[in-house]
Amino acid sequence: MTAITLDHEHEHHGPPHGLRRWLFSTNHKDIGTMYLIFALIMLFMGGASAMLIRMELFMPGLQLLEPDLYNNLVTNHALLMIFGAVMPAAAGMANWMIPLMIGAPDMALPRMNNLSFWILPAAGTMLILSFVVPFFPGGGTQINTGWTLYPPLSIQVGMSMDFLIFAIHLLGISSVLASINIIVTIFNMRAPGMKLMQMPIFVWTWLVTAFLLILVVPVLAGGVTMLLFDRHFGTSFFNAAGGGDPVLFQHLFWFFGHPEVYILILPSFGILAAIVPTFSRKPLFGYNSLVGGMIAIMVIGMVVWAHHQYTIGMSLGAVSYFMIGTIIISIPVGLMVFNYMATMWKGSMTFETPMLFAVAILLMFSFGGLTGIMLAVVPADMQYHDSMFVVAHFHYVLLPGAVFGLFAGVFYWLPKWTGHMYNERLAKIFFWTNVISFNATFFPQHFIGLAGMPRRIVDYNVMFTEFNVISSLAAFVFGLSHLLLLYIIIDTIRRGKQAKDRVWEGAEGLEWELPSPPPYHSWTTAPVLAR
Amino acid sequence: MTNDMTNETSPELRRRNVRTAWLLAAFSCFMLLSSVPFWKGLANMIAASGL
Ligand code: HEM
Ligand SMILES: [Cu+2]
Repeated sequence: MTAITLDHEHEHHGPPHGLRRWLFSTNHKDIGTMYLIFALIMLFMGGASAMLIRMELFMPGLQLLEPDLYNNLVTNHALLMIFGAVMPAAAGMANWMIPLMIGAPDMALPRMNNLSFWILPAAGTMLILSFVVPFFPGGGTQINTGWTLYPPLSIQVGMSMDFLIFAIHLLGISSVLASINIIVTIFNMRAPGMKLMQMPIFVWTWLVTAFLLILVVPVLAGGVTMLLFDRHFGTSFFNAAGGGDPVLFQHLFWFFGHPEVYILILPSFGILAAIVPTFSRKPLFGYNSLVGGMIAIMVIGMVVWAHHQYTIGMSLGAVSYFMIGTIIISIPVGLMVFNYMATMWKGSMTFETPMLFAVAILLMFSFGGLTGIMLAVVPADMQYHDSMFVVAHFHYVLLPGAVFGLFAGVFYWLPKWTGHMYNERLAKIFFWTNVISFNATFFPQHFIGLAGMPRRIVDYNVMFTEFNVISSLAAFVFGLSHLLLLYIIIDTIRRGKQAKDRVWEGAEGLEWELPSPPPYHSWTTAPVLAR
Repeated sequence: MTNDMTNETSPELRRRNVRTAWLLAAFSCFMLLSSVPFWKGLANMIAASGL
């Protein structure tokens, strides 16, 4: 009798129907899909705010935005992109791929996985409310601080700042829970016989990222909580009049903020570690040094934060230390890039869209790394700081380093996820418009930055007009190109040709041993590893 | 976990997972609590000393 009911249960191992499947989901693939859809929505919202910013900057003078609204948009754009788009997209990839890659049946803590995701829509709503609340009667002033939220300005902002602080708390809880889940999964759920040093590099990058997250996100949470107390409960952590120090907030913020940039790029670098060997048809070069490099990035990345604060008047010893530390960190970052180049060396390469992205990423990211080293030099940064040059720098590292890496991952794994092949011709058109318009948008910003155009200011001197016009026009193309991405994804799901199990001829790894799409329950019995 | 969405895992593995998770959670709480006094002290030190 019992045996019969058990058998009966086994037959019903497909997904449950309707809303229940998503709301109560504990399935790593479904949760991964939801993360990715959430990220895509946020990408378009963050993109809309970027388009408004570039519209305003199209011409000198005040066109369509009030100064406060402009700064509100700048703040909102950064937060939507960082916390709404890039981090959830990377978490979606982790959910989908880590169990498949290590031969685990699911994430270690499936119900917590559900919670980590479902906090996000609530947090996203709070984030958007922090933007719109000032437009309602009695809603207070707009957030005009930028994503760095420095006091005293952030203490003077109206109630929208409280919405934002609450949003950051929620986002932080979601990230920490997801990180805990990922670490536990990687430690405890690997297929028997898979040693840590045999895991795919993508899994390694997420292990390091997850540790970085639980190290620094609580510090940000501490910082914004102190801000909240200063705003409402009469403390003076950051209030000089009460014996506090506004610079303390900067230290707390950047203790989080600098590691955060590695949190954003590491998962994408893990995606590259999957793509580059596949399309070079060669094993990955320097596995051990990649692992060592990313651990070095994690450790050194935690102790260089004050390169964002050179201009606050630190002692010569302190700024020298932070300068040297910052320059040293480019060594392991460069090492990862060189490893990928060595993987391509003398390979029989083909250039499908994921590989096109990979090559473009290495070129453009390295360029952003070079401007980073310029910024790391203290006397030079005295001029560059808070100029459009910084904006150019971080868009050159963040778009290629994080966003394009995620796009590459989407093209690389979409056939595995959906069982359908995307349209290669459309994808190549997307790649070229995307990458060319990206460069046309941000390259000119180096020049206007060096010439003295400050960032986060709604108006600018007429001498900067030409390059801003180029930047804005290209930005509109760049923004619109993402509609093509959306179309390609929908088209793939609807009409794509059936994909093979091993989608890419050169691909290796456990995920390619499963059908495309993988069954709702995969690796119910752990795979037996060769070797 | 036994339901139609997730594969079951053995009770021992589940216990081990939950234990590891609590350990990591405790660590992140430690980071939260230590951030206030510790980083404040460090910031003061950086500000006050010539380093
Ligand atoms: C090669 C290594 C790098 C070096 C030496 C470097 C150096 C710097 C320095 C010194 C600044 C502060 C500039 C200023 O405000 O005056 C800065 C800003 C920034 N960097 Fe980098 N960077 C590097 C790589 C990266 C990477 C990989 C990312 C992210 C993926 C990144 C993201 C950012 C961001 C977002 C800012 C601006 C933050 C803000 O003020 O809002 N950097 N970088
Ligand atoms: Cu930094």
